[in-house]
This record gives sequence, structure tokens and C-alpha cells, in this order.
Amino acid sequence: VTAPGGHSPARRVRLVVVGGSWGGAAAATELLRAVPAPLPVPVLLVLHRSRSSEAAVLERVLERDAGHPVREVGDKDELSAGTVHLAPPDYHVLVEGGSVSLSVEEHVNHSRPSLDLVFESAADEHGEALVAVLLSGLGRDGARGIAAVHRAGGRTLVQDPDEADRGAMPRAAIATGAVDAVAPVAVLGAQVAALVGSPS
Amino acid sequence: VSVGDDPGFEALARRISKSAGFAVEAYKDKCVRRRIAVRMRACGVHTYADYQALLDRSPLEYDRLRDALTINVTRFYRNAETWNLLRRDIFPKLCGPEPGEVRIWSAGCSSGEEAYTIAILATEQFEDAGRSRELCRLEVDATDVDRESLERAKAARYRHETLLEMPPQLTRRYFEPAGPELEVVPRVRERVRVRTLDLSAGRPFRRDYHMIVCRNVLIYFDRTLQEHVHRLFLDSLAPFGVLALGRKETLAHSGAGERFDVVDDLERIYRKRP
Repeated sequence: VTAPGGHSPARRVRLVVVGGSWGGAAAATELLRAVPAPLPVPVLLVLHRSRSSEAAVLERVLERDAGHPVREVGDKDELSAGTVHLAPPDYHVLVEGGSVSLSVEEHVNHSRPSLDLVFESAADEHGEALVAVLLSGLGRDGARGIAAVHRAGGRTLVQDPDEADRGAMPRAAIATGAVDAVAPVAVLGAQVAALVGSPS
Repeated sequence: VSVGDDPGFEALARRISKSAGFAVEAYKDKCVRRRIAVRMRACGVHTYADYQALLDRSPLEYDRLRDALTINVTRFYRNAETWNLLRRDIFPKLCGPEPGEVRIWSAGCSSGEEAYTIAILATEQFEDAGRSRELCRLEVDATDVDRESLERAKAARYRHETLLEMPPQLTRRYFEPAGPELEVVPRVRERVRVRTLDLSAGRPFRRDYHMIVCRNVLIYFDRTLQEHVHRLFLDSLAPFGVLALGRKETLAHSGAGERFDVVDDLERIYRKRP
């Protein structure tokens, strides 16, 4: 599999941020299953989910089905290679250096966590060393963020809206014209693997 | 705030600093940018100019921006390794049988999780040693700049998920159900005094604390302000007093650092030289 968008070998990806909403957890699981372990970089997974959802359950299911260690992130936690860092419900997540910080600011576009915010902060921090993946969901959260990643030189991958459980979010992102690749998640997974330089 | 390649941001930062708001230049540039971005999104504006207009229209937004910069999201027993070490090596000595007060300061306590974790670990020492009657020796000062956070600290009621990292036996022992939440038991709550303090302008409350815990507060401060607060801690500690910082914070390159010994390099625990 070749990486999309004229990936040059000089590029060194430092972080993969995956965002999703309705249908996002299942899509993320399939995406990550297509990336061989161990991941050479950290993955930050941000999903809209209810506060009552059992974090520990989602962690366990993701870990079992996606085949990577999964940890919920806390404020000022460092992101480490090989691990899928799952954002907790009901906080905004900002990438700051090699860490994340959590914030209790108001909802943005009816969402907390806001995918726009996490993508924008990651783009600001990592520029072209960032891979951003947007998955299934309703609404248009993430579209601005994807555009920011693109402007900063990062790679933007979006789930095929026809495959997605809910295609609105992917469509809104695609409409920005800032998307490098649109494909089913299994294909995106292979592209992520190529971009981060996973051993095949 | 240093000169960046973003004239719009620079102008905004200058305006904020000059206004009655707060000393935004004492925070790291990137951090300020990140928090302004959050506030802009939360307000639904997309340019620095629009955000400036909003600040002019609604001065309350200055407070919200300051909150965004200063409020820490935390949990009980956050970074368990640090607390395990304090529980094993520091609290037993701190709460020993010698008479006298045990004075601890939770600096930048946010909504109180850290301060009550401290009070619980000290209470445990007294109670396990069969010295419950000595609990009145314990004084924990919890300070923060954000009044809303302090109100939450005073209420001492927390959602279950803030206790996920706490050893379950401590949760059972020191919390009681309060509706859908959990409340710190009165005998622990009584030991904690919550008060307002701006660390950046702060002078020592007292000079005889046995321990100061200040985690993930200084991380956003610029170098000068960090040095200032390290000095404040040095002046506020009794000889042999313990200072616990966050895992990414250090005294290593600070002037005040020379006056401390390292107790644990990884967990960032220091002891003031006599």
C-alpha cells in the first residue's frame, strides 16, 4: 500500500489523531485493527460519547478487538508510542507538545470533546508530522479541524461516507476540499500503517 | 508572550495584557494560544479580531479566558505512583507521634481533589496508628486563584469517575454517598481550609509548612514566574519540608533548586535543606 498524497520518506509522523462520533467506535476498531502492532507512534482517539458510558468497557473492547493497548488519557498525560490513548467523555482535549491537556470549556458545535479543537491543536503542535483521521458521525464537527491539519501540512484521511454508519461528518470534512484520502476504514488503516512506518 | 509569526495573535495578547484582565505574558506563548483557541471556538468566533471585539463587548470573557488558563482538570490520587510513594515514605514520618501541628499546603488545588487526597492519606496514618484523637493536629491549606473551583472544593462532592484511581479501600473509608455523587467524610473535610490565592502575586501565608504539593500548576508559567513561585515555596517551607511537583515539572534549573535535596527524581519530590 502506498501512502496517499505524495508522502515523502523524509516525513516523520509523530502522532495520529482519530476522531469519530455516531458509529465512530466501531469504525475506529476496524481502522486500528488494520494497523500492525506495535504502533511506532502514539494514537489519540477522540470519540463523542456519553459521560455515563463505561470507559473501562470501551477500553477493554477496543484493546481486544483492535489489538493495541488502550488507555484513557488524563490531564497532562504524556502520549506514548504503541498506545491508543482514548479521550475521556465530557472534556475538550488539547494536544500540547507530547502531552494532552483536558479542558472543561463550553461545548463547541454541541460537542465536548470537540474534534475541531483536538485536530486544530494537534495541527498547531505537530504540523506535517500529524496524521488526522475522521470517522463516522452526525453533524459537522471535525471539518474545520481537518482543514487546519491540511493547512499545517498534515495528512487528512476521511472514512468513505457511504461506508460510515453516519456519513454527515465525513461529508462535511470532504466538502472543505482539505482531505487527502477518502476510503473505507480498512483501507485507511493500511494508509495509516504506511504513513507511520509500521513494520509490514 | 514572545514575538511570534502571527501578528493577529500578538496584537490580541498585547491588548489582553494591557487591559484590566491579567498578566497573560506570564504564561507560555503556546499555552495562551491554545486556550484562546478554545475560548474562540466556545464563543463561536473564528478570528482574533472577532475575539478582541467580543472581549471589548463583554469583559467577563477575560475571566473565562483566565479560567481556561488556570483551571486544572484533576482526579483523586492522580498519578498513583506519586501518591503511593508519598503514602509509603513521607506521610508516616509527617504524621508521627511527636506532638505538634502537621501543616500541608495544596497550592493550585483546583476543585480540591489533591487537597482531600492529602488529608485522607494523613488521616489514614493517624487512624491506622490508633491515634485518631490526634487528627486535630492536621491542617491542610488548599488554595487556588479560581473562585468557582474553590466553591467546588468547599462542597467536597465528586463524581464517581474522579475516584477511579483512588485505592478502593480509601474510597470506602473516606467517602459517603451524596445523591449521585460521593462526599468526603466530615472528619477529613474539617481538616482542609479552602482559600483564594494567586500564586503569581502570592507571598508566603506562613513559613513553616511541612509539605507543599503543587502539581501541574507551574507547567504553563514562563520561566520568570516559575522561579518566583519556587522561591515562594522555599520561603513557605520549614527546614526539611517536602515539596511535591508534577511529573513534568522540575527544580533542576531553578535558582531555588539549590536549596533542596532530591527525594525522588522521577516523582519530582524534593526536601528543603535545613
